[in-house]
Amino acid sequence: MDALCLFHRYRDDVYRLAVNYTGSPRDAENISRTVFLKLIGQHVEPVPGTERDFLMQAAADECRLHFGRWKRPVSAACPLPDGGGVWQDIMCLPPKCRVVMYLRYYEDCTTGEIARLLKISKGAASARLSRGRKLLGKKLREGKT
Amino acid sequence: MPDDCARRIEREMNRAIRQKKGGVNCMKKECGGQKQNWGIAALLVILVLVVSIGGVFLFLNVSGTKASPSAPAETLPISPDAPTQTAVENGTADGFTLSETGKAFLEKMCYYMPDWSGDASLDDEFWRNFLFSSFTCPEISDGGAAVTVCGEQELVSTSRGQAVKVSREDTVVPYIRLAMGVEMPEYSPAVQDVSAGQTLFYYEDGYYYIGLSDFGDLGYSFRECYPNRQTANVIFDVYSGTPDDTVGTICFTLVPADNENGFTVAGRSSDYVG
Repeated sequence: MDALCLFHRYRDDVYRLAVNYTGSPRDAENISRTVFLKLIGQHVEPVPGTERDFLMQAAADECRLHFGRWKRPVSAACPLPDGGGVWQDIMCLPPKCRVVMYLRYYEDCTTGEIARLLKISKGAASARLSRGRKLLGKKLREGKT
Repeated sequence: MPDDCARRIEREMNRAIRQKKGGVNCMKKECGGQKQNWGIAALLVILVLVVSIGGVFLFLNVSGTKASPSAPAETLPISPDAPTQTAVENGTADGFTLSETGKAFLEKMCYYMPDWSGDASLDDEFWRNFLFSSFTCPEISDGGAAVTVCGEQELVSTSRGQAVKVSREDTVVPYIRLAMGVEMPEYSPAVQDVSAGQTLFYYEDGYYYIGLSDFGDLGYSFRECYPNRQTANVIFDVYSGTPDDTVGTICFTLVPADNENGFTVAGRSSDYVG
């Protein structure tokens, strides 16, 4: 499958991950552009059947490079995509929790897959999920009262 | 992905594809004039092979065997406040005991040491992660000293920002010998390999320069020690926030050794609920 086919098929997946990680549609566009242009420039061809996984991994790597591996991602400064309800509450979580919550509940990734994508330990992934769930629960309870 | 964003990216991809095809066509035109260079290229390949094979033989003859686990040459001040060796925590039927000093050391290894088992997993990524976690510090302290959780190290300013300066021979080599009972291999990442925006980690003139960073949001509590005939397994619970919020476990495989901890680590594995 050539680069343009991969782009048309998986552009939304890559973009969603990037916007969840960075909280910025502008940064997400830049990251998506970098991921797909690298397919062309670096003559990279994913193994057939693993294209989505390959692109998601590449997007996660670019997101991390965007912030620096050992630095905290900054909070979103741009308007977030509309999604209503729980989606908006998830997008308001701290960036570290937000991206793992997105991967877990919107992309059905396991903790191991999340750890692999984000290049963190499984413990860190579990801890961030746990914290994200608690924060989300607290936010939802506050919304109901 | 918004449509306008998709159109922009697709336009750039099409441009890149056209440029790439144009480059390939130029290469095809040039091929006719390159046959005469094949001879020189073949000669260079043979030369490289000869040098590589010679280098391998030289390396095999010169390199020694890996040092067996042994006591370090000097005591490494892993923590200035480490508790003195007191009563044994766990009795054992096979002679291995885990002291308070050893337990405190392993708790630090929960933070610093990546998972590994066997020599094959001791690659560059392992050493980078292990050394970075061991010697980075979360805060800048006054007076030029970085108070890391691995003792005091010199804090310096580099062209790429502040970093903890750690001597390979005086600090890293004894530390690895104490922790793992092995000799620190040649691991010398260059400053040029540090990407823009990435926290510093490079080696220069006998020192590692490690950027400042904080730690994750996990805590570790000792659960149990299981001695065997030749090794011991020590389990730590991993928690997030409060000790009752367990998210996983870490298991160290220990080999008895004559050092201040009484052991060296022969492996580390972790398991998390997901």
